[in-house]
Amino acid sequence: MKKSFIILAAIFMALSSCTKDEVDTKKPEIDVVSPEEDDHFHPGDKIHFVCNFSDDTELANYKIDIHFNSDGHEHSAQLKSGVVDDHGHEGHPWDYDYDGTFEEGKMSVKVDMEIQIPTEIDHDGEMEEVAEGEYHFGIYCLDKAGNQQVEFIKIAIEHDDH
Amino acid sequence: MIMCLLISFCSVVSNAQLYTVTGKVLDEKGIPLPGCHVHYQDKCSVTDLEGLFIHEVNEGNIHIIFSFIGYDKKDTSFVVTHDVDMNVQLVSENQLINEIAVVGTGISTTKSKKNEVVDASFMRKNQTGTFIKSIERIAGVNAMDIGATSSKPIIRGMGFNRVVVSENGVKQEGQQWGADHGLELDPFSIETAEVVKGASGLEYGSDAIGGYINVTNNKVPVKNSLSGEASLLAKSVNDTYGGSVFLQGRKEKTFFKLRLSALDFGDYRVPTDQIVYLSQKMPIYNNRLKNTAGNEKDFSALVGRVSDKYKTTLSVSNVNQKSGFFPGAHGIPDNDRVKHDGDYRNVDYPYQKANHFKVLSQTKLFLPQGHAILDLGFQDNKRQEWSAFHTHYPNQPIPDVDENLELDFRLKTYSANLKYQVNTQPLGKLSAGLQYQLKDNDVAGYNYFLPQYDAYSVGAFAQVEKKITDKLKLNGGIRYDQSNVKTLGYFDEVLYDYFISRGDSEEDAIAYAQRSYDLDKDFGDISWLVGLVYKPNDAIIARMNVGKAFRMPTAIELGANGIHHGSFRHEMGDSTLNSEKGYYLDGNIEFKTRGWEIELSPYMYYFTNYLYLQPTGEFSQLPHGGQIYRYSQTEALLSGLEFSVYKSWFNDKVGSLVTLEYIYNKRISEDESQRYPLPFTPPFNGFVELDYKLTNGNSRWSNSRLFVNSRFASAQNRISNNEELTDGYVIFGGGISSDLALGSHKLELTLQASNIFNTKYYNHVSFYRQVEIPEPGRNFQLLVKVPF
Repeated sequence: MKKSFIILAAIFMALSSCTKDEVDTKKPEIDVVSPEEDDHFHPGDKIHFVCNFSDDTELANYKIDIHFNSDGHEHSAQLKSGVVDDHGHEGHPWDYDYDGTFEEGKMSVKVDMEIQIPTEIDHDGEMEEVAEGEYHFGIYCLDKAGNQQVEFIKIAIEHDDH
Repeated sequence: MIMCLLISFCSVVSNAQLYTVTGKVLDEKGIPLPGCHVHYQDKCSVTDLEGLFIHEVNEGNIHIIFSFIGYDKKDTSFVVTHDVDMNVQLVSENQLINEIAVVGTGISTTKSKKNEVVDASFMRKNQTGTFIKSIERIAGVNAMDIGATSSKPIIRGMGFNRVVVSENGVKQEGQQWGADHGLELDPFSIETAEVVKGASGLEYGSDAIGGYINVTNNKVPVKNSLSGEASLLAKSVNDTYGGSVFLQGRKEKTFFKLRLSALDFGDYRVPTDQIVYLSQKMPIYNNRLKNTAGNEKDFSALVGRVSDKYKTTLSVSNVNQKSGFFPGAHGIPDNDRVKHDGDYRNVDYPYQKANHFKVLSQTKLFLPQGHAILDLGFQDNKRQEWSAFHTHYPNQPIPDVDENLELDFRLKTYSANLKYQVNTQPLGKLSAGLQYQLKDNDVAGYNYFLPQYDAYSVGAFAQVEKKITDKLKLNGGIRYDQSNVKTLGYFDEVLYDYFISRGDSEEDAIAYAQRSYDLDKDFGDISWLVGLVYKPNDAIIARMNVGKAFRMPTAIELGANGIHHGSFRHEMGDSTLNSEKGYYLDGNIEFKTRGWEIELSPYMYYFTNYLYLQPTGEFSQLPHGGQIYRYSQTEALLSGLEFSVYKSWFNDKVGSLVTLEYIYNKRISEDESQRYPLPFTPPFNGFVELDYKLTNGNSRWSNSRLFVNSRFASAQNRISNNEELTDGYVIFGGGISSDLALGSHKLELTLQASNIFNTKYYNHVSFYRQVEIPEPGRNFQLLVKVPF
């Protein structure tokens, strides 16, 4: 009986002795060149997005997610109709979602693109102005193994009269 | 209650003269034990408040068995020629050698599986945040915390459905709804609990691959008594005030139990003023995690009848919990939502509500050579997440009713268990049982996560325990389970329109809008176990088991399809998953001598199929959806070692305990890059405690003890993909407990502190770990119990 325990312990030790497996748990890296924190834009402007993505094994997908986050207001998507923004304007929050896939086998990719800010948003058939205020510019990156990195930048969208 | 074993082998000569055997049952210290079962032939009597019992017996050779929870069973045979008066002393279980304490509805635990019994005094001393947190000191048990007030168990690195939690032997439903949902048990109503580590699915349902926890609160009160207890609990970490009133009584055969409990708590304190969520720094105002307040209201009522032939009970209970979610880690980071709202006790959106209603009928017949059990149960689980209506599809209309009800799961479970156990001479102890369960799950709410489903399962098992020699016992069992799950398909029109309006292809729109499919799947398989217990002498006992375990995939694993808050994960089931299946080998060796108690438990599982949630590296196309996590299957290896040593010093005045746990697991794959550790694996961890019994010179104070302890864990560097590395920690605690006599009343007081140095640390297996929220800070807790 004691013997079987020794055997059991031996099996256990053998199995748990650390054989290093080449698994990837390292997150990819996001280095945003543009836009910068607190950059101001106007409706109708283009946001120049420049970003270096890198990973130690292989990049998979990235995503840009811009949404309204103005003070004193609930999260944009909670609003059914237009909102009154920080400056008393009637407006509708702008929501932007972009998905990109990296070419297979890449460990480092520079993304350079322009994002058009609309002036008006179609809301139930009515055109409404883009709501002014603070927006979150979110960048997500996934590597092949599913490790995720996130970067958030605060930007502001304001009308010409400010 | 305690099961009756080995009832009377002696045959009694007819027309024999009747005599009475009277006696008193005492514990090791000579204190009477009320409620002890005294078996004679097919009769069972229970000792009264003074520990006294009486039996009419036949002349000649008689056989009497004494059994009591937490104590070693005592078996006596003697010749009766006149009335007998006897004193019987029972020895508490930790000195017990080859018997395993059996609690619950009297279901015999596989003897080759070591179990841990948690009694009222343990609960009193260790009652921390939650019941599961209290049993974390057992090596191999970890708590997956959800804030300061709820948690669910992880045994040997396995959690969720792999650990069966039952109350009085009936499996508690509701565990399957993800990591942010705790157990629905009244924290005050736990009389004793039994914890079995390792695969124990044979009798408890095939889900119990990781372990089994049974909480009992249906102990029979002593005859002609009326008693009760009032408990008060206060905690500083979240300003908890709670109380419970308990009343029980019994005439001759009829008894009742009643309990009402309530808890109210505020936002809990964390030792940090900032957390980082999705790369955003979120302030924590006044070190209090906003909107984590909540409350709980529970009641339970039980009526029963007990005689020497049967015991039957009918109970109704309801657990109602409401608690808030920290809004800073729910959805998109937003500093505005974490600002202090002037009230630490309010529960605002988002929050969750859980209500668990249960009716249970349990009957046990004491038969000449064994017993039979029939349990019938109905459980109604309601779990809701409330969050101010928001949608990521501009075209989604606001619901007409309950517009802020985001997710609503309503599960009705009907269950029936039938068990029979008999002692036969050549074969040993035989038991067999049938289990049936029917589930009906409805969903509602403006968000979609889980399909509506119906499921049933039937299981049948047979088990035998046999003494081979005085030193060796063998046991074996086999079980077959058959189940069926039917999920209802759901096509999300709103989502379809949204995708089309966004300019996506018809194909993509349909693919996403079809949230679930009509599914009708059958699963079935065999589990088995062969185990042995070897006791070469009084100091050593060794156990070993080998077996096969399996469990059916849950409806979530097969059909979930929706976004999980906090992490934005889009969790997707996979309808093609097979059952989880594995082989295991576990051992346990105990060594007890001269104040030392040393225990070592190694184990190993080889899963030919293990189900887990795997990140895919792809983003969900659902608006604001994060990464898609898909339920997947893999071959896996899981092994570990638990060690504990207890030593008493200076004539038992001082006790020292050290427990350690180490787990090593990984997926098995031909592809080296896929050999990841399994998610939610606790790091190497342990617990140390020193305990000192005070000498009470003053007669007012008695049973006083002082304790200091520490919990520690190493860093978890072996992580699954997209898990966070977690640093190690050491935290300290301590306390004092004592009984205080006030007139004719006795107060039981326990004052204790945990995380004394307000250390900021993370628990790798906590729900909030993923959103970088540290564990609760320093806590002082006072528990007062007033028995009456």
